[in-house]
Amino acid sequence: MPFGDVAPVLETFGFRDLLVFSEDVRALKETRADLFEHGACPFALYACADIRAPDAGKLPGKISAARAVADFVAVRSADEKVMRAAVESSSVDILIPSERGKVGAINHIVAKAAADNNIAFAFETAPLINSRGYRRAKLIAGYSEMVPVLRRYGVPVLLLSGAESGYDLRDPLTQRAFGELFTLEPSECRAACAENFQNMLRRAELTESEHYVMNGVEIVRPREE
Amino acid sequence: MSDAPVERDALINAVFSSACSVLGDAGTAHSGLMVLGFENGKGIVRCRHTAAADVIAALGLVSSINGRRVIIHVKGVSGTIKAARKKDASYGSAAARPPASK
Repeated sequence: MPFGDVAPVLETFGFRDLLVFSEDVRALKETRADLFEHGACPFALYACADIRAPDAGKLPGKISAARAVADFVAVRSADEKVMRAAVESSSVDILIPSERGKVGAINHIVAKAAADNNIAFAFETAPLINSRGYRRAKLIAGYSEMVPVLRRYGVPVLLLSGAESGYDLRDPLTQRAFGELFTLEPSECRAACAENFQNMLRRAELTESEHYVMNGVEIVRPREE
Repeated sequence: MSDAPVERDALINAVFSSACSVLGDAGTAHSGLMVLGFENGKGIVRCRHTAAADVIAALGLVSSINGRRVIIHVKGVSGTIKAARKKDASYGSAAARPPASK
């Protein structure tokens, strides 16, 4: 299914904002207008850098390079050291704790740092759809083990499609049902599909505004009467 | 959603196969899963209300039927079949039925 044909599917499902992950964000931003062949893009399209680092040492450089061009920065790794380095950087927005079907294990330190830096944990559903048997069970078990720790520290969770094809996309109701498979509560599933994304977008808008100084500090002007 | 028409029997097989994979045989039996009707690419699936999320997840995990990629789009959940038909007026012959006279 070409990318242009994905638009009607997404519209049927009721999506409005689209977060497109790419390892080459610069190229994605240049070709963003051409993604939809049938005219104007019906969605608000956000470019998210998909960073994969073999070790924690190379991560800071990749993050700062991506931060300059991308709307959002996501780090994908199942390695504990890389995850730890990612959550300690406030420039990261999303951490995807799985890579090539393998889910990493997190500890309380990683969860606390993620909560302090407002980094969301993202669970991808496409690997779940495209795997079977043992691999699918390991995937569900891996995400389920993370949920109590993330819940304890109030780390926002996102349910991402992780789609590489239009056929990997699912409607929000199904995405929420997948969240319940990962032992998320129904209210958490709702937040993971909508509210947590909205908060992320709002925060991104705030940090780009001229009134933003630093985390927790914003210039508030009195209303002119 | 599929690029080719899907037959009813193939869909039922795929749905039950997915449900047995996710919920197990006993879980599928206890969910009360049943495909009530399927025509023109639209259908109604019945299950116990306590198992609705599990069944939706099982439907979402159907990725291909007879080797062709598909998406099962859950349009909504309803307590009665009558209300489910109202959710999509174009579904089945029931849409053409006149409202019941009082």
